[in-house]
Amino acid sequence: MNKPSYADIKKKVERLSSLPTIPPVVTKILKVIGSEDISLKKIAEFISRDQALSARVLKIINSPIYGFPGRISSISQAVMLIGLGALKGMLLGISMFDMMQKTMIGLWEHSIGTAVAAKVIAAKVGIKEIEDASVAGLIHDIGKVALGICYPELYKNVIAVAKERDIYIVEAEEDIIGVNHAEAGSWLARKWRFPLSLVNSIEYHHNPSAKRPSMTIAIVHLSDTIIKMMGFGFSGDPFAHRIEQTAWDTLALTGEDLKGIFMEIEEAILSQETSIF
Amino acid sequence: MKLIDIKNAKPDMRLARAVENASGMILYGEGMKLTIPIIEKFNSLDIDSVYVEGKSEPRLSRERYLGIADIAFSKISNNPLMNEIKKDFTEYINSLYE
Repeated sequence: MNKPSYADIKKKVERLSSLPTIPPVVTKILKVIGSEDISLKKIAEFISRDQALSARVLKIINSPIYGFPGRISSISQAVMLIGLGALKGMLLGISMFDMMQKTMIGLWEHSIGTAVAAKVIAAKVGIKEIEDASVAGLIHDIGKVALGICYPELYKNVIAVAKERDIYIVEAEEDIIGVNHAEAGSWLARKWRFPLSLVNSIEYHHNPSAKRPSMTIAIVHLSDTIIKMMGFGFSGDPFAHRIEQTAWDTLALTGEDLKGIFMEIEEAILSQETSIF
Repeated sequence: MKLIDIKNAKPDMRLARAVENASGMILYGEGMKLTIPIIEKFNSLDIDSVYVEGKSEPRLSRERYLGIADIAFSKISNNPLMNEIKKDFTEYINSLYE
């Protein structure tokens, strides 16, 4: 199969929610996420109407990904705590769960693990927007799902080639499709009017120096690598990406901080292995 | 300190962090010893996990952790920062088995 053109890929990825292979429930969620006049109240009503979705939202919001001090038992309370941008991202992550599993075995675990790591690092460096960092971790690889849905045969080939040639999945994507998941994911995030910090975290999570790295980009960049080192989930290849010096300097972590971060991530993974993963 | 699923909570374990409600009000204080009624109360409040005193069993064997890290770092082994991070990770993994 020939490589599609850049313009065709972009068009197809941006119209992802109208593809016939997308389950109706996901199409509905994507419509809500992308709607121009969406508000916290409307999202809360939408979630509350669907029992299965409500249960998933409450499970995730009460998991170590967020680390709220006590039990959150209602959707209205959950949406107030997390805020609109992070809530849209979380809904996207939840809606993509089944498709993540289909695209790549282990990608959901990698995404959850990265979200947990992002939360732990965000708390350590002391940023206010901890939920934004967690959500950025949860959906940083959403472009892999988008490419997998839009080009299922090509993406199977991407996964096979990355394995055969022992290369990064990003290299195989660029080689076979012509666009990598970070760029494809950012198209979606922009189309769905995600907050800029979320769009940038998706687009620059492998090369934060291309943009002056914000704290959130640097956090997702480090979380992605840490979760690979810790052997949790699978994101298309087993290789850690080099942490860029500018991102590392932005975070200003010490070796002792890192060891504490490893410990907290491991504890969170161990405690939740049977429930949310 | 370890975070455990409420399914694995047992009497005589001690809370290593207070359990709070959504408004941050402390329901059970740090150091409190768990009893069956308290664990049942956690279940009725839909509390999924709590921090208790003690050390968790590692998820993988030491060899497996270090083997995964060796592969993860194989493409970036000439980078001083990554070597430093790998050293910290190795020390952390070794500490799990002391």
